[in-house]
Amino acid sequence: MKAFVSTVLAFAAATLFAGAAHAQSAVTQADLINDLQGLGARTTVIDVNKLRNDVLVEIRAENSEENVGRDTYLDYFANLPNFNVEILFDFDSDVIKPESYRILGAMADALHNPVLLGDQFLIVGHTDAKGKREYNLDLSQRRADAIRKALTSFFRVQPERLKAFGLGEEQLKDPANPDSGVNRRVQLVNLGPLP
Amino acid sequence: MKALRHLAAGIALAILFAVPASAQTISYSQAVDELGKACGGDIGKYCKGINLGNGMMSCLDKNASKVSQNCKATFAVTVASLNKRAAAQAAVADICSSDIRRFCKEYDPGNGRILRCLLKTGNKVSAPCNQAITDAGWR
Repeated sequence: MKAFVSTVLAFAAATLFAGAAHAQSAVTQADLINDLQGLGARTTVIDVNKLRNDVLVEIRAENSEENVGRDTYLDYFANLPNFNVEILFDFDSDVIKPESYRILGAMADALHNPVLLGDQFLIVGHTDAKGKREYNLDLSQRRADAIRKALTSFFRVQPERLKAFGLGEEQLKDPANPDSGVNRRVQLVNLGPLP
Repeated sequence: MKALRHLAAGIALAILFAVPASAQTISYSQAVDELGKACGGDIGKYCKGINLGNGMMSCLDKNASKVSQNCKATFAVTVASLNKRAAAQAAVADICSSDIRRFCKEYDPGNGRILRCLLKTGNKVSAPCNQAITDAGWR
């Protein structure tokens, strides 16, 4: 993971922004803005295609479903302002359930607020550890893409402001319970002003 | 005003007239929450496998003869309210321009600084500008 880490070291943040846990039914635009603002003038440049490839190479190199060294080298997302949301999908699919339209709308409200308007965001999709790592990587990418598409198309968020990245089961929220539902989540990460 | 103009440019609208200052707008989250509740069943029946923002509206439209009255009505309201909110946001920069020149010219644009200045200035800001901020959902 050398290449990955070097990409990452450039933006070690001084402050830790913990992705707070929120009752999803109550998440509002204000909650999102509160956790996602505050990056100032610093822009984090991320090459999503390279990251994706790096992770894939790592999975194939380890050649194990044990997910060796899980969740440490990817923790830097937690050092950027980020917000965890729970978006429900149809089983084994990238189709967003209508129950989750509301939270998508709240994300759109926040992204259209002047406080966040000039910033670029990374949508990171995570799965639990059920199933193959490589399969989960692909599924989470398709899900992150679906969220991006909904936000840019239906909710008219400027496409340049959103990047989608599926991390599969590589960064479990609860590594002690790899199959737990808490691991299935979507992170919205503020990458700073649009370059 | 860069940030606000940015928004105006980002939202392409086919609306040719300005939204009246008194227009009631609702948030995107409220609008699509109602859509999800009213149309969830119909989506499961007629639009399974289709995503919001990727064919959902045209699918509901195509199946208009089969979907429930409630879904159809909510669908129309949702589209209208999304347009109204977007138009309200796009209009703020223009409606508030003289207030911004008067009260906030020393603020650098970006990260909502101009908006914060207007909100802080409160009642001294003109009524149309305050209404525009409310309609944009930025309070």
